[in-house]
Amino acid sequence: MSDHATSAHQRDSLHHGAEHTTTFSSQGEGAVTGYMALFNHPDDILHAAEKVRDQSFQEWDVLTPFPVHGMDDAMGIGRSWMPWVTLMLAGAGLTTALTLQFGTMAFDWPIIISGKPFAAWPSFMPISFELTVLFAGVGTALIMLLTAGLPKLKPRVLDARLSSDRFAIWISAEDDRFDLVKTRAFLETLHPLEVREIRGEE
Amino acid sequence: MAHGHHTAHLDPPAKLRLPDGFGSIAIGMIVLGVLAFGYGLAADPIRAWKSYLIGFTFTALLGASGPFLVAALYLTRAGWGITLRRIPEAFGAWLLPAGALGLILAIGGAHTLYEWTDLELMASDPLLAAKAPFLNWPQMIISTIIAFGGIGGFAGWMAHNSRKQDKTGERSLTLLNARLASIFMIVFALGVSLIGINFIMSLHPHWFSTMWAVNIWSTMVQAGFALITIIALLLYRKRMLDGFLNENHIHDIGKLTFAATAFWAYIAFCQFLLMWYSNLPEEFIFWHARYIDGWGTYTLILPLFKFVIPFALMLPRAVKRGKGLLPICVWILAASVFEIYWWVAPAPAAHEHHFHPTLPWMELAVVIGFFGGFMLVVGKTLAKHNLVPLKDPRLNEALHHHQ
Repeated sequence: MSDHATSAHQRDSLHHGAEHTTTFSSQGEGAVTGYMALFNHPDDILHAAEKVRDQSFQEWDVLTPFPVHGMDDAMGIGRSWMPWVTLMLAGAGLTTALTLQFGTMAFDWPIIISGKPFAAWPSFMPISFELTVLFAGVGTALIMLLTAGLPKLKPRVLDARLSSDRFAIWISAEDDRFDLVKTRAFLETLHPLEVREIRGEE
Repeated sequence: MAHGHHTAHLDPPAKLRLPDGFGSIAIGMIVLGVLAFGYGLAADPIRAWKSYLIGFTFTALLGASGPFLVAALYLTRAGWGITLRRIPEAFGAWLLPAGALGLILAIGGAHTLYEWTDLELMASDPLLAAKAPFLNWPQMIISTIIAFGGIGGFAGWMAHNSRKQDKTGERSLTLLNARLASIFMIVFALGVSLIGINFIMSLHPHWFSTMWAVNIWSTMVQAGFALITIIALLLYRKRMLDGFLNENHIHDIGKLTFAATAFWAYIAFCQFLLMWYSNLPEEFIFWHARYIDGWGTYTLILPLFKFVIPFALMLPRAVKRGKGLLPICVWILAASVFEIYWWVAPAPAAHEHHFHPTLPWMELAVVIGFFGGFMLVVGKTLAKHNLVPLKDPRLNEALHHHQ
């Protein structure tokens, strides 16, 4: 780990050197929909994200090939409301299981099974546990996918290397603070490898 | 966050200075326990030895929980726990005194507590006669020595290597400890099973349970992780580990405590459900003793205290990261004492089979005495060595620990 920290440090000093140049290019056709700044190291994208966050952009995102530790804080993303969904679904699962079991076993069709009472609650616990977990787990996964806009059949590929060894910051032209000149200049102060202007909708 | 930080930029933390009066308080607690136990021996020996058994079991489980976490960290090559590893390492120092205290119980109290020490009874009861090759006094003594010697010995060896690394910085010590940890796990599993079966399960010599060792282990990790969390939180809040321990470490040990709480419920309920359902006398005997004589309420309260309340309170993320975590962990420790009380107090003794709930002042005083001893040994050990394994090869990983 210390090797890693040192090399990140050296890279930082390289970036601040005079030799560093950021290339600029344009991709797609039509009106500008946003800028993409490309980096080649997770530490660089983490620092860059902190600076974008501090500029209080709203319509922006970070695209990485793998989860980068500390990115939530670097992007200023607060807590998700998803745990509340899980809690509600867990409650729904528990209620369903208990209603089903007490309703059928104790009221609708009471049967004596191995000499236990009709409302034999200990034997209801495994099913209550399973349904709680099933509702909470499957439901959370489904709602998470839906709210994330997935599955997306034909996503726009901004750069194929974003799924292997490139890291990008995307600032949408829909952001109130977006400005063709100023935002580009700002992105260049982050010392990316490249700032790319993206034109046209998906 | 410690992003730009290197190990070399951080000053090593000062050695722990125990708060003023720590030693006096701990010795006061021990004196209280000894007085209550001494009075009990004269007035009501069964109750006195049962109190002793509760205090012994509670602190012995705490003592073994620390080296277990240390071994788990080595075996999983975990980086996150390095900066708080000295806390569980220190727990291991209690194991040899605990072994001696266990021997005192096995030698002095076994004939009061365990009906299987009555050889005539053992011979006349076919079930007990069949268990006699295991359930006998020499076995208890030898097992106690082997279990505590083995767990404590390996724990001490790993801790010694860890402290040696502070000076030499040899990476090979980490590899050696990983190998020792794999042997430790086997010794630990067998040793804890032996302790659990000999000291607690054999209170009901007719009882059969294949879940008992797991049950006692789940209680151990829940209580042990809660105590490690408490100490880590205190060091964090006193700013004794600045730069070494942050909220993310608290979050991880908090999550382990939370997981252990859920695991305890799973195991304890598993054991109960199958025995309740099959309704076999040799299995249900344990539950029957905790249903009659006024113990039913205690049995119903137990899952509430040990699972429902701490689980619900620890659900929010902010709590596991330290907000209000301290009182919950103290609650878990108290609930663990309650559980051990519930294991021991309703159980039959050598010549008496029915016990009713009473105000457990003697039990509490003796447990406080034992905990005073644990505090003294663990506190002194923690203060004696560096608070952080300064030259552990994975230290940097822990310094840069994210959630």
